[in-house]
Amino acid sequence: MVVAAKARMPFRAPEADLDLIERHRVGDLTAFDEIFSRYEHMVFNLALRMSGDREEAADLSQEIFLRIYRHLGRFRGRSSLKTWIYRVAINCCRSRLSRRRLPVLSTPDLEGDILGRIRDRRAGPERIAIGRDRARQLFEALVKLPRVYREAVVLRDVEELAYDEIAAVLGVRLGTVRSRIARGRDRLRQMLEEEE
Amino acid sequence: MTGHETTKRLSSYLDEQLDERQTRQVAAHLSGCRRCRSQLEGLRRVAADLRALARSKAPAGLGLRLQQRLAREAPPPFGEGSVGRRFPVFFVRPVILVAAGVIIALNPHPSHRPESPPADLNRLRLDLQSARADTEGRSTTSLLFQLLHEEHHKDPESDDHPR
Repeated sequence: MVVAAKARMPFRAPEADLDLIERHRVGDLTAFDEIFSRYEHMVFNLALRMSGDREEAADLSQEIFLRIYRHLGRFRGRSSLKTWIYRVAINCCRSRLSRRRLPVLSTPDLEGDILGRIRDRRAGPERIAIGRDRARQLFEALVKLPRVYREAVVLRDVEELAYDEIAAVLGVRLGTVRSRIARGRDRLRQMLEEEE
Repeated sequence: MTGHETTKRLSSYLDEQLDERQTRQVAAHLSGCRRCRSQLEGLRRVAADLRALARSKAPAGLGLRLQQRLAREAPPPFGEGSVGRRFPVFFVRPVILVAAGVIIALNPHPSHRPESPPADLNRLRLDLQSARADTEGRSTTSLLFQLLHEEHHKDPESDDHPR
């Protein structure tokens, strides 16, 4: 009963989010600055995982924030601002990346930002080398994944969103989210096992 | 043992997305099935490795590039100079002239004023006076832009799904 009542209750964005939007609506330019500094790394990371290329991710991030700026006044607070921004970002990635044949992997990314900072500080040089190799394989496999699975896996395992948040971002049912995450993870597992 | 667990159930089990009964079923199956245990372990490893990937910082110049692009493509919600970009002078000027004409027509010189104007005209005058008081000291351009801005933001069809 509690679950049913909760399901019927419309979502309302936190007051802090609504306050930011209202400030933007009345012309307070610092509101958008605040949104940018709060979400720039989140947006860039998502764009990087979706595109597989730093330059492309930077361009994509710019597009995403431009779209956020244009549409922010129409945000009605039916989700959190963060979920809404993810949705804008995913839509932007879809339309931009669909024009390209395959995501391009740029080698400097693999050597630098992504592999250089695997979160295992206690590991010795050998473990780090193995970890880097594994991360490179994982990153390569991730960008080869079909778009719908990549979106679901990135939102769940990289961005660590809850299942219902992912459903809201992608605009699909919870069951579809479960299937996409499962298939995406399984494809990655198979690709990585082939490499070993 | 007749069959194996589906990938969807294993992945959902990993994320604790199954109900109590399903969780018990999967756990019971896993205890006797090496193949499903191995698949679950593979899924667990993929998820853990993805979480362990370092998060990149956005490039330092991103904010500046965005600012330049915003200045070029999307004028701020308020402000002088942005009207001309959206509405060329050939459109704005006639609008201002017509608006001025209407104001003069509704507020004639005192010598031409009838002794007892109709009630509607009096109300219109009061509205105009209060509008003038509200907007004192602001340029026509900024007032026009504010009206356009308000019009844009009161769109009842706007939704939370920009594409």
